[in-house]
Amino acid sequence: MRFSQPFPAPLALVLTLLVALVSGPLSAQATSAQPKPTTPPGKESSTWNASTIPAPLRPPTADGSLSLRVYGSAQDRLPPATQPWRADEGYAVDVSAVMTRCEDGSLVITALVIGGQLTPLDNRCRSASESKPAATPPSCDAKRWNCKTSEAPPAN
Amino acid sequence: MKWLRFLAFGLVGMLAVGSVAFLVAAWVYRDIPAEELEARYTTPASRFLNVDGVRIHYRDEGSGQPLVLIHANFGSLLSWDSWVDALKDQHRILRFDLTGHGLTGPDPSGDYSLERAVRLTERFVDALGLTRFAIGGTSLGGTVAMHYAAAHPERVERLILLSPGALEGRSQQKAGRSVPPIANILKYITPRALAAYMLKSRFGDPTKVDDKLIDQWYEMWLREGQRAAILARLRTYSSADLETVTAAVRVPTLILWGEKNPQAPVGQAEELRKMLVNARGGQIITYPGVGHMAADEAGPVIARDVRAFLDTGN
Repeated sequence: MRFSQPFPAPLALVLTLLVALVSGPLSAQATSAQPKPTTPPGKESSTWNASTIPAPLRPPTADGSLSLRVYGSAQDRLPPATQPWRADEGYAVDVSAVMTRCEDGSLVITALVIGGQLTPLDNRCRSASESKPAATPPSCDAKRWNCKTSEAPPAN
Repeated sequence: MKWLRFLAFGLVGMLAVGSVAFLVAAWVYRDIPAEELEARYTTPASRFLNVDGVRIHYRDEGSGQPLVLIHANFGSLLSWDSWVDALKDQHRILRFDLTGHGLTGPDPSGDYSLERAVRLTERFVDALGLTRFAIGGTSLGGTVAMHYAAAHPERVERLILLSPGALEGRSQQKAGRSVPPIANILKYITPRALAAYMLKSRFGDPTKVDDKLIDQWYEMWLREGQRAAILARLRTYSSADLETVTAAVRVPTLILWGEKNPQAPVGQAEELRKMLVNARGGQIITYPGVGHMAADEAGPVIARDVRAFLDTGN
C-alpha cells in the first residue's frame, strides 16, 4: 500500500482503531507473535481482534529486515495491484530502510524511505574504538571487601 | 676488427633478447584447453547443459526454494561459493557461467549483447524446469537478473541485486566510452598482473585478494576463445532502456552495495531504488569498506542478509 494512493475507508477506520486502541508500537505488533487479546468486559469484539490479525508467516530472524505491517480485516480487499505477495492477510506499508552492515556485525538503519521519501538518520556504525569493551575495572584494592585478597567483608 | 666484434656481440644480444621475448609472448599467449580447466574446476555439483547452441556450465546445490545466481563480468560462478555454503541447507542454488566466462566459454553465435545474456538465462531456467524462484546477480549479473525479473514477474519471487552495473553501464554509454582498438593486444598478451590489478581495484581492501582468487580469474580468462569473448562483450554492452526495465520490476527486491566501490559508487543504490518504482520493499543494505566484487570480498556477511531476506515472509 503506498501512501500516495487513497486509503480505502475501512482501512482508515482500522488504522485509526489500531493507533487509538493498541498500546505498543505498530511494528512490534506486526512482527511479533500475538497473544490472543481478550475482549474487555462490556465491549463487543471489533474487527481488529486476533481473528483478523494473522500470525507472521515465519518468526522474525535475529537480524531480520525492517518490516512494518498494517493488518486490515478480512473484509478489506485491496485492489489487485496492491495485493500482498503470497496469500497472507497483511500488506506492507511503503516503508523501507537503508541499512549498513557494520564491521562488528551489527545492522544499523541509516535512513528510512517512507512513501518514497528518503529520510536520513543520524545512526552510523560505531568506530573500532567505540566498539571496544569498557576499560577493565580498577585493580584489586585489598581493603575492599569484594577483593579476592580480602579475608572477609568489612563489618558495617 | 673491433667493430666486427661489436657487431657480433650486438647480433647475439639481439638474438637472445628476441628469443626471450618470443618465449615470454608464447607463454602469455597460451590458451588453456577447456578440458584442462574443466578437470581443474568442476566438482560433483557441476553440470553442462546445451542451451541455444551454448554449452553452459552450472552448478546445482542444496535443496529448498530455488535461487538462481548470476556472476559479474570477468568473474565466474565461483564468486558465489560463500553464498552457497551459507544458503544451501534451505535453498536450492543454481549458478551458471555466462558466455565468455568460467567453463561455459565463448558463444558460437558471437553475440554477447545483454539481450542475448537475458535470453540464455530464460532458456537455462526453462531447461531446468524452474517455475517459481528467486534470482540474484552482481554487477553484469545483477543487470541480467533485473532484466529477467522485469520480463518474468510470474516466475520471480524475489530479486537480489548486489551492486548491479546497470547505472554505471549507462553512464559509460552516455559518455561514449568504449574499448579502444589497442585493447585487442589483450587477446594475445594477458599478464597475470592484469587479473591481480583488476581484482585489487574492485576490492575495498586489496589485501583480501589472495593468490588463489587471482589464479582462478586468470586461468578462466585463458580458456580457449575467452579473451576475444570478453572484449566482444565489453564492446557490445548496453544497459538498454533502464527506466522501462526498472519500472517493470514488481517483485520484492533487496539492494546490496559495498560502500567502497569506485566502479559503481554506493550512491547508485538509492538512485536505483528510486527507479524501481513498482518493486515491493526496495530495501538497501550497504557494507562499509567493501568494494565492487562484494560477493568475493564479503560473501559470508552478505549471505546472512540474503538469508534474512529470503526467509522472511514480507
